[in-house]
Amino acid sequence: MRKNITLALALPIAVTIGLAGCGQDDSKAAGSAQTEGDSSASADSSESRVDAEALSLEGAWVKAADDGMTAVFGELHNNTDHDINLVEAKYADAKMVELHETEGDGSGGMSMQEKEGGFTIPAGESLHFEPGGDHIMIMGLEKAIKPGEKISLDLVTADDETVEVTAVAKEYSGAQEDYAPGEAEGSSDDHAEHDDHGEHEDHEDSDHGDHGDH
Amino acid sequence: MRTPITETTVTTEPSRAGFSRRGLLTSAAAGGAGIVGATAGFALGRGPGSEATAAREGGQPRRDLDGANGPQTEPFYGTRQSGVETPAQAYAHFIAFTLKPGIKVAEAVRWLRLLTADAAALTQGQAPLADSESELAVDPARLTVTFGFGSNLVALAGKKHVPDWLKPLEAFSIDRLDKDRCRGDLLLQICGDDPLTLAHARRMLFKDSRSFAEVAWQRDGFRRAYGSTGEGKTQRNLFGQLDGTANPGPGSEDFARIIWGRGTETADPVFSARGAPPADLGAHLPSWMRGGTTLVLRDIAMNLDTWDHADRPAREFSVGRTMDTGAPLSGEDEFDVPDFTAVDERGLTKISKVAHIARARDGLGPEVQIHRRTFNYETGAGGDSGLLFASFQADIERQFLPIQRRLAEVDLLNEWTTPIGSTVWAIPPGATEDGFVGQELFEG
Repeated sequence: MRKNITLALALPIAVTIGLAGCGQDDSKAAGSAQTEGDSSASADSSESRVDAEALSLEGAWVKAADDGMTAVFGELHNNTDHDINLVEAKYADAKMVELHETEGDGSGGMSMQEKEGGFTIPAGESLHFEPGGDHIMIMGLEKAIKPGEKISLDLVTADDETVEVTAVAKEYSGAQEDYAPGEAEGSSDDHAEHDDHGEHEDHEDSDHGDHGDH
Repeated sequence: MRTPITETTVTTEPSRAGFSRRGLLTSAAAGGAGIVGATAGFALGRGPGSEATAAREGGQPRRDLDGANGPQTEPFYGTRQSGVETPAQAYAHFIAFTLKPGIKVAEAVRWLRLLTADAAALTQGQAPLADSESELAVDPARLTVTFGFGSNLVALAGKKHVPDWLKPLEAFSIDRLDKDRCRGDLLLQICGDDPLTLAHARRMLFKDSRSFAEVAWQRDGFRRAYGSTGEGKTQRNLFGQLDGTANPGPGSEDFARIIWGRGTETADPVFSARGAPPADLGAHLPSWMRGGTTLVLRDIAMNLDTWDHADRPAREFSVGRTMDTGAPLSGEDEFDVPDFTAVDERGLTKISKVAHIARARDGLGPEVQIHRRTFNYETGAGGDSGLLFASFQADIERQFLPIQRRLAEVDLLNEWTTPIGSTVWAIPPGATEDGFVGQELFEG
């Protein structure tokens, strides 16, 4: 009831509210990109068109990076009634893209490694790509991905269908890569978390300083 | 739930469910600060939840334990930005940014798109992309994020788009400006009823700004907490004065004309006792600002120590209003129209010619009105204290400056107040769902 009242008052400013905010925007963007990708990239059969629209990456974002490695996150939804096996991701401006899974080391640290055989997304379900969890890993960036920029990448299924998705770049200091021993070197995620925390506190301090200076 | 407001409705139903704050406001809005406004003020003064009311009705003040305000949202998308006509929330963060060197249109658009997406999500209680503390995004508690553009940001789209008023105000003799509080290319006014939600929103918006801009200055303000007095009451500043009595009511014809600069085309509009403001105050605004307005933000230091020297009669004489009800010294009720000719038994005007309210309105026409959305600040005991005086009006030259010039010339209150920060902002229209704030400017 109070909600109705709120909307009633806000009359002069009231317009439709997009409750989902940017998440929804991105799913829309991803949706249209899929259609484009479908017509340009695939072109083989009408069946692939159906499949292309069957996967969507909602709330897609990529960690902004000047070079080296980065990762793509979002909720990959299987809109069909059959399981889909995601086996590969492609990004034009990088040397390599891998599908990664993350495993805890039991002490807050994480190690990430390539997911053998890719990910299977059950019919109608979603796979969450998130920092500290499964993600799409981009390695050997050949071009900076700047905050606010939109990139597109191709997701390839075991049936060799390709879906183009877009992700918006966000400045993000988490999601620091760490590899399982023997795979590559990397800093401990433990450290990464501490760094992040320290930065936050610094910011708070500088706030106070700013206020106190007169 | 738009119960007509009568005293009976309000006072016989002290339960929260029976309180139509919207009804109260609509009523207040209809008349601005005029005759109808006076009636609304009367009703508001008896709003439920106040201890006095509860005591009068034989009830007990109740604690609000159901968290009802957390899920409340204000719209984000729309032709106008929220945070202007929105009834003021309990807390505000004002944060001004300056563009980093090398930022051009493309970067500015990427920044504004990021901030728009963040604000759209946060104000609706949703975590924006890459929010590492997404649990803090729930319970928006009427969060609003209002964007203001400074001249450097506008100039990125082309110098011809910079309106001539978008520059520092002329110097006033009372000013003691700190130049670091007079800068900025983008302003975010982040308001809400929950300080934790606000802190998180500010952090997200700050994180998405670091690549593009530096923080020029920031200031946090507050009013009464949500639930303390009921919404729609005039706020009190740290001098204890009611502050903003003469504001046009949200939703009123006065508000539309004075702030948005155009009439609502309502038949038989009701105006405050000041009379009908012109319906074309916004005609001078550039086309990219259609649906927008202007903001003058003054950071006014208030010297609480010297204010302590002034006893109640001196305080009331200086303002021209009583401290308790805020009634003009010529009247009884907060919303009574001040009578600047009324004299006391000694033949002196009840309201001094140099009192604040006389200087601010006596003899000024109906176009010389503003909407102030003020927030108090204090940085601790013995610290800085003052008022973030956010003044919205369609035309700074015709509305804000005539008042400011007169107050700078003579105003008894100047003895205790000092402007230390001053900025001028273009408030662009709101964003469309697929767009961003400022799209009309950069892609129009």
